[in-house]
Amino acid sequence: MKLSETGILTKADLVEMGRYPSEERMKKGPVAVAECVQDIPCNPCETACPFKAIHIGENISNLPKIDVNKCNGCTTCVSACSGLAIFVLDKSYSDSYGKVTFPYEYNHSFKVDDIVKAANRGGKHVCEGKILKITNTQKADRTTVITLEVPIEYVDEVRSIYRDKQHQSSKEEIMSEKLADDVLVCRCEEITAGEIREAIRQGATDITGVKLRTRAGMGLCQGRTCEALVNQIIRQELGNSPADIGFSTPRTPQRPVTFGTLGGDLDE
Amino acid sequence: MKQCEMLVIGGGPAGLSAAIEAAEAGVKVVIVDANEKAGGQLFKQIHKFFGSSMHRAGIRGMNIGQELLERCEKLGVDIWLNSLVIGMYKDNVVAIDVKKNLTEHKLEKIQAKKIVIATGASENAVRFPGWTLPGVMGAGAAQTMANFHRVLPGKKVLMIGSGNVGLIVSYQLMQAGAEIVGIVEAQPKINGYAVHASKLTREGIPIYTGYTIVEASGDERVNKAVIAKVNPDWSTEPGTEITLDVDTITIGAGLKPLIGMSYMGNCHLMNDRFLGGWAPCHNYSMETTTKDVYVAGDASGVEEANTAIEEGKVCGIAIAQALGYLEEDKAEQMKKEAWGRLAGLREGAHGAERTAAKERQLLEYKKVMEG
Amino acid sequence: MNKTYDVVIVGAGVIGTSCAYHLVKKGFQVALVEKKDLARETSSHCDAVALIPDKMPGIDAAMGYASIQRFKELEKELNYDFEFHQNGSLHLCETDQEMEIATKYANDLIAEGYAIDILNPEELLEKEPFLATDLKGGLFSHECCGVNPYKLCFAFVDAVQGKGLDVYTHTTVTDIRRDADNNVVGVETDNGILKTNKVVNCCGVWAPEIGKMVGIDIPIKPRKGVILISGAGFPICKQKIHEFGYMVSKFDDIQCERDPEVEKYNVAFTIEPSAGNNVLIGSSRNFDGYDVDAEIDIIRVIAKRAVRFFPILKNINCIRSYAGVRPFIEEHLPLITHVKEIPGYYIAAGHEGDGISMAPLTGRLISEMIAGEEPCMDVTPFSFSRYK
Repeated sequence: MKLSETGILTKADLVEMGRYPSEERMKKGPVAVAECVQDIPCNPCETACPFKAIHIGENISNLPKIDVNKCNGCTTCVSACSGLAIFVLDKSYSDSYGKVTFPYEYNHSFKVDDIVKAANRGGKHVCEGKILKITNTQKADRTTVITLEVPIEYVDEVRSIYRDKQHQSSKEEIMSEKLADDVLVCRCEEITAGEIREAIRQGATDITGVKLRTRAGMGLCQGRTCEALVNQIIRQELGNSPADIGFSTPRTPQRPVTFGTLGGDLDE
Repeated sequence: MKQCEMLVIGGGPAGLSAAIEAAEAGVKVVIVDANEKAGGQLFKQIHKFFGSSMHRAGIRGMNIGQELLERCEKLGVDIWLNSLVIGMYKDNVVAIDVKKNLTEHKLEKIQAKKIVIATGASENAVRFPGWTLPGVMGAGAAQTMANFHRVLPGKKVLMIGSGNVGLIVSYQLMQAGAEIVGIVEAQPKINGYAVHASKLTREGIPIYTGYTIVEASGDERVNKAVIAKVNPDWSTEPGTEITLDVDTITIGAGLKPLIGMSYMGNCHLMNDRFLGGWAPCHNYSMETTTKDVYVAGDASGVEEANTAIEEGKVCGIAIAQALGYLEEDKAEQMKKEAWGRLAGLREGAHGAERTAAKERQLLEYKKVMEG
Repeated sequence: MNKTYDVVIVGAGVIGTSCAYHLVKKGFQVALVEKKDLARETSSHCDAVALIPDKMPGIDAAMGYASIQRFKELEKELNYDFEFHQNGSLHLCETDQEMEIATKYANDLIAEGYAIDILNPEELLEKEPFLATDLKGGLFSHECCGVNPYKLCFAFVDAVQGKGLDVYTHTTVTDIRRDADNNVVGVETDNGILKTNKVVNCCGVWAPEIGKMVGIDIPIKPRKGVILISGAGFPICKQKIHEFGYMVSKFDDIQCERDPEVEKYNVAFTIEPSAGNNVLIGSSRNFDGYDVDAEIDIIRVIAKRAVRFFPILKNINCIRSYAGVRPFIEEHLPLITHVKEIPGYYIAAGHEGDGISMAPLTGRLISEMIAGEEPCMDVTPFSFSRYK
């Protein structure tokens, strides 16, 4: 499964892209890793680093390059990253334990020395962790930075604190015909998909044609809500282009206004 | 009838930025906003923005909103709140329904030398059986409830759509204390930025790519959602259904520009799916094919708050120039810089399509005006 | 599309579709050519009723009555529901002077045999409880009826499409072909040529354009009307209602004093319930070219008049407005005619506000002319030769 399907990066992905610090470097002391692999036009990490260890350059959608020799793992960049994608890893802490520093923007009541469940990039509880440090700076503007002590083999995995929740998924056989004729499309006038298809069979080829035949779009919202849905149905039925299908004509008043207000006296 | 130099319809990031830029040069500006507070969607954007230091990167949207409002105040920009523009007419006249108090409204007519349409966008709906049940709402609506009004729309939320809006709103609903039961994406891949998705996955939120919502059900409000795998022909694959207990379904299916004013202003509209559908074409000054009518932000094609800010600035500069408050050389230089920043924000694979679409808009403007 | 037809009709509004229907019924092969789509202009930007009390006694009122009878038949003939309803109509008088004129006028119509009641203020409120209480009285006409104008177009087409009628929408007529003797031989479109020796110009306000193609000047001018729509709620009125001032704006020989803004846009209050449980409120009449903007000043005046007659509207929402252009002719008489100088060229246009109610009759007359039959009524007043 790829990142684009799951939203979950893996260490292997990062190593392959040459974006993960070496074992050797991590053994020497804390170092930042930017788990940022898409060209987002963004560069606060570069600006934030006091050691000029992060380079993006003129083109702000370049990926950040971290100079692992200049980086001393100060964690300033962790709260600076708008994407919450920078972590600081340290395998020099002891032989059996390492440290992971990550951003955290949820309400919490964690304290230093708390033992918490540590979660991996997929949100799975993988091990226990001890909170070593909780930082809130003014500059970080409410992005908390937490450092967790975890078994050394989990330093590459742990990226957050596990969230306890119970949600069950169950499989169930149901009959579902996509876009059944009785599904409401225009909420204002209560017009169903079936009525819209019927209007198309009668010769409607665009938004106005459907509107005249069914009243879809004649209600309070002037078609702002159902327009896209009617458009989809016309495209499915006839294959017309969006330009030919058109839009629901905007009219005065753009939002409902009482006749009393409309007909009231004006200041001249 | 009231008169003004520059009238901005909509006080979001685009409108406020246009007003600030023009007011700084000396233009007298009126902003008309339908809400009780200006700032558009900024005050519900509690996340830090992307961009670079010149685009206020790393600052939360709500803080940018505050900053823009303070600057407007300092510059003496006249902001009409609770004022709904109901239409735009010949000779740059707009009509406004002004809410005076809880029961009283008054119609105002105002004529402006220059008008900026900065009305933003509206959410797209997705229809499925049960989409009209209470508890099914737009992702933007849920975000407004949670972040602006501080009301949690529900405790167990299913998000439809994995674009940045879907991902960010899911994250923020979690911050507000809701459980995200899952994110459903009909495409085979996540639409928004991976970093936004990763923030959710490391909290254990399942993202169902290649799934669609089949049905929502419930008596008084939604309490169950059924999702299933989609085939390439958009049918669902039998046997892949998953039933989820939910009390809220939020739809983040993208936005479309609000074109009411542009249409009524007789601006030439073009359809481009990379900008959310129909939008007015415009020139390098953000002026539409209707003279004196400008457009900025999502109303000119759906993008992001930081691009809206830059487009707003271009409008403000161009209008100050046209009204004689800015010398041509200086104005051209300032516009060039703003366009440079816009180009920066539209860089990268995610921005390439928008860049191309924006170029098509500029080209269409030229075609219409020449032809 | 290079086909041959007995008749080509240009324009698919209510007049064009009615002509198409009536011609096919007589056995002709007909093409209906439309630049946009069915009922996209005037026929979907208006309200629609067939009335008696807005016609002058005599031939006008007789035509109004005949139209109503014809709609009753059509409701049975056509499968497609065009929302025909016959619940009468009310005309309201604001002043004693209006009431005086109305009474005299109603008595003339009653003398001709029409079912009209003259109502005092109490009787008026009994019929419509939400009316303002200070009105001086009004007229109730039992026979008046209403239809949904664009659905009437769909109904005409639905009945005969594929059974003698071919519809070419999104097709623009570029020229009318004639032979050396000026006879019509075909219709050129941006999509090919339709061979025919009979063409009917049913283009309403755009009829002059199709006239120019054969070198004739059709004196039709667009006259704009604006209509407002209320939000759906409960039925605040039960029938079509007009202020009697409507008559004043329609016929210039009745003089009353009016508000300057009302005068400027020729606003006369009308209200009618719609199938969607909202009301349509009208209307204005002013010349502004082909512009179909519902301008705020016109909307304001209409809203003000609406609240004056129905105070309850003060707190009811207006959700939409629209404007349409009606084909105005100075003499208030449509053209339903063959143009002698161009054999095979017919015109059916210029009905202004009576297009919907007169559509069935117009279609029938055109079909009779083309079939070479004796028309069901005297068509001399509708002839193009009146301009000679």
